Amino acid sequence: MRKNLGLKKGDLVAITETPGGVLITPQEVIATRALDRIGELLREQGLTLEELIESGREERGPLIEELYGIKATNQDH
Amino acid sequence: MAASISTTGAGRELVLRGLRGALKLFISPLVVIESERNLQKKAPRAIPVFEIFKQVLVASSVDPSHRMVLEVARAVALKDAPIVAAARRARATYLATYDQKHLISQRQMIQASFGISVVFPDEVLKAQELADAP
Repeated sequence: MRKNLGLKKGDLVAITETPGGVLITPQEVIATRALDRIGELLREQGLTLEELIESGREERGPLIEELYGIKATNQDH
Repeated sequence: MAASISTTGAGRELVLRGLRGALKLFISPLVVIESERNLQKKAPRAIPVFEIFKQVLVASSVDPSHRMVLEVARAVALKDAPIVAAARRARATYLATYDQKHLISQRQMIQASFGISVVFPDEVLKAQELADAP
């Protein structure tokens, strides 16, 4: 069955129950589709990777305080 | 983010190699939450898809302690400390990033202080290909 599905030993799959039976999808396919869609939505907003790195970094200050209880000072950029 | 924005880039290939078991990937909860909040602000429609991606991503979660973050913050900016500390805790060989301004620019110091190579994703791929070459 694995060979018929084009899967190699050790390949990760996701199993979904559907009304017609069980759907087996390689995780790589799911991940690729998800990343493609996220990228599409980001490009729609005209966002570049550099902008996303900077905006992510802005989120990080408060997040460090939440997760580690460390408050940033004015010197921490 | 890089793995999503470029469909053919090295960031994407790193994730896929992780899924195939060719590389062992680590990610810190901070990076996951940060990405989620970033998407929430910049492209909220991507959140449900990001949730799916999180479920299939094959990466070990590694969370450094408060003390480790503070220790690393003596050498690098506080905002970068949890990321470097997570790589340290994972005993990672490489810290793959596209953040040239804050992390790649500090690669020599981070290598000297913590023994972690801060590299662009394509450098990890090349290193793996060289290691696998007969």
